[in-house]
Amino acid sequence: MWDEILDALEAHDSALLTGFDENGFPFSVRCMPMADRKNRRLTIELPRNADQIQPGKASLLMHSHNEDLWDLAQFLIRGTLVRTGDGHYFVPASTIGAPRPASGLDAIKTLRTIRHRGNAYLNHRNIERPSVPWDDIHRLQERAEEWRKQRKAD
Amino acid sequence: MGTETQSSIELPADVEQVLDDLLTAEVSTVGKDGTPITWPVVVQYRRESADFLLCTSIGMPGKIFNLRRSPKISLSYTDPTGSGLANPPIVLVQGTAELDSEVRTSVDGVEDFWVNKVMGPQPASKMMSSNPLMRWYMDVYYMRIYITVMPTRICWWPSGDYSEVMQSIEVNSYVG
Repeated sequence: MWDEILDALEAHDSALLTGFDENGFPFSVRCMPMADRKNRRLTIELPRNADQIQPGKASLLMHSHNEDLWDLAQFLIRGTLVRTGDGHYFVPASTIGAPRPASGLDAIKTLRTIRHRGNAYLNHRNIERPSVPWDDIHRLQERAEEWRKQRKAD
Repeated sequence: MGTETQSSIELPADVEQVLDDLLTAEVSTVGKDGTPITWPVVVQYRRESADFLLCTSIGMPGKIFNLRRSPKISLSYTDPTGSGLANPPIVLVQGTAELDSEVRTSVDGVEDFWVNKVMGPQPASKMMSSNPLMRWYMDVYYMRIYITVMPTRICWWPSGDYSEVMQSIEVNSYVG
């Protein structure tokens, strides 16, 4: 896990730290975690104008996409945010996703997982498999082509 | 349970532009063990109903399970890649989520969401329906549960880098 975290820090300029504010709602802030290799934790400097996150359970998301919302990389670290006398550090507990965009083989595995989980969702609830209105989907894709042309023209 | 929406939310133009133009928001829900789980998702800001629309495939149901346990949710707008905006405000929306009860494949009434937020910005998504094999294998991609976020507070940092004091408005749009 630690090697993956170091790889993610190298691949991304910043991370989104999410914890909870004093009302119990999720509260997120962009930050630049620094690896504390000796203690296998991350030092975090919270911006003075966005320091509402309470110590406790927290997560760090590092993600990226290209201009066409593709080449997706999504990596989440679950853990605990600890406040010290002069700052904060984050103790990782587990991770989800991958630090860098998926290879072709990884993408196929992801599609397989999505299908498997979708089938399980239907089966566990005895939901009859709904049909997809493919003609409507294709009609919207044609509209999306026009949307892209218009956006480029603008 | 009833809901009541106010007719509009008054936001600065550059904040509304962020809500309209960023390709993704980072959506945070509360995981089973109480840890906030955050993932990038496409979201539509709907001025007319003063709420936010998103959805998830039943093949990626984590958000659904989390929101059934706790409806508290936040949407962060921090990554302007692909939006055409330079140094826009950072925006954080906190609120409460309402989930549709049924798995839905119809796109009636949500055409703008699919065209302007999914299929338009992400041309590669077309592969999910590009041939008979993909239509058979990935039909679950189009089986969706829709989520409406009723905002309770919207915060923003005008400079986009936290150097300025956070601005915020309270939105009393949700009556449970």
